[in-house]
Amino acid sequence: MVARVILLGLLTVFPPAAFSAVPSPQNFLLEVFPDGIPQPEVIWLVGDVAQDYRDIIGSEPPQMRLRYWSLQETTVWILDAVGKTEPITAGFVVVGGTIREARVLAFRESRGGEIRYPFFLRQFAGVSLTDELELNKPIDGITGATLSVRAMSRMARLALRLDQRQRATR
Amino acid sequence: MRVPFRWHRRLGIAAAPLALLWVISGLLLSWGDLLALDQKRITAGWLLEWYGIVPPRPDTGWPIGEAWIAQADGRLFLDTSPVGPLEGEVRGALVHGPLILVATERGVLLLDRHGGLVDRMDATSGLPPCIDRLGVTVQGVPAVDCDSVRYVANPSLTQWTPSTDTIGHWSRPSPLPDPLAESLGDAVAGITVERLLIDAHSGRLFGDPGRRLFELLAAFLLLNAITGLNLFKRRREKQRKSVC
Repeated sequence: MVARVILLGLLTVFPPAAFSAVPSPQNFLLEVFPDGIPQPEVIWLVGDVAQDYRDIIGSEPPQMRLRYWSLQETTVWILDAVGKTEPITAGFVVVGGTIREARVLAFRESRGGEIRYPFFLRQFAGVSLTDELELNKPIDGITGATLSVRAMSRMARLALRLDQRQRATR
Repeated sequence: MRVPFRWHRRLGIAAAPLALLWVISGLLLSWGDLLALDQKRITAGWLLEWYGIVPPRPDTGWPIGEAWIAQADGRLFLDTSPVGPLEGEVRGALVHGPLILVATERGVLLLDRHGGLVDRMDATSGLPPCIDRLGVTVQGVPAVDCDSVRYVANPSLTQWTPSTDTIGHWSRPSPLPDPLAESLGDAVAGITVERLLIDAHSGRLFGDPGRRLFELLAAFLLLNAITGLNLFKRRREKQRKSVC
């Protein structure tokens, strides 16, 4: 009973957001590559790749090239997609065509921030792409964060598709 | 309570003009994203005067060969062509092969010669947390300084690393040519259509009297709804009695 009261007090003083710290993109890369971040490589968002971007994200590519980081079978993508009105920045670690980890790196909306929490992000672990470029398992939404959830799903699909293209060129 | 039809009619007629403005502005605002109303600007002199807006005129820019990089109203321009929104102050701009590099206090933008965005580089490219200035080394390699620590770019411009290379020259700002400064001032003057519609929709376009007027409109519409329901009820009762 005492422990519960203390826990409730702690949760009141330190709201749950404090337990879902959002790393910066640089710190995210340091977590993924603790032995040293490899030099970034580049994929050009032109031609078929640009069409993939349009088909998945639903808008024109915001820039002509995208940097990514690659080590052996692992690729790491840092992507942006608009939730409701503001862009969400997310990082995806893809290993052998499957997402190993997804993290929110910057959340700028006024609501929908629950997508930062592990209970939501855990769903992306083990997800890969179907032949129709869809995720091979459904991602459960969060009430009040529908648009943010959809943005994360679109970015996950894009990360997997870009990883697929890069592996095909090796 | 029996409400004469003429009062219902009078309330409706009185509320109609403002109600039309309210409905049209509301509809346009709800489609605002699709219509990109926040991107479209109105620069009519009488409107700027009404708002008390004095068009800004940027004084300095960064010469890059025949062209200029300038910053105005939170946006980056290549001559008078908008490149896009910009966070932070420009710290330098230079041409490097087919690309234009623009350094801000937060990172480095790569543009093509037409102002198209190629890449935005930040700490994930090895850039330092601050950028004081942009230049090229004596070997022609782009470099930035942060608190007197120098970083140079790799040949593919994807990674920046600390260096002690000697700088050949720094990018420096210069006064903009008058015609360009004036054109830029015109380009950033004005208010967005979205802003105008929001103010029209709330009545704030006409200041406090406008807001009171729209509150009166709300009262008129409410009374109109009540009188309308009252008249509907009376008509139904009349129809029922005539059937009996």
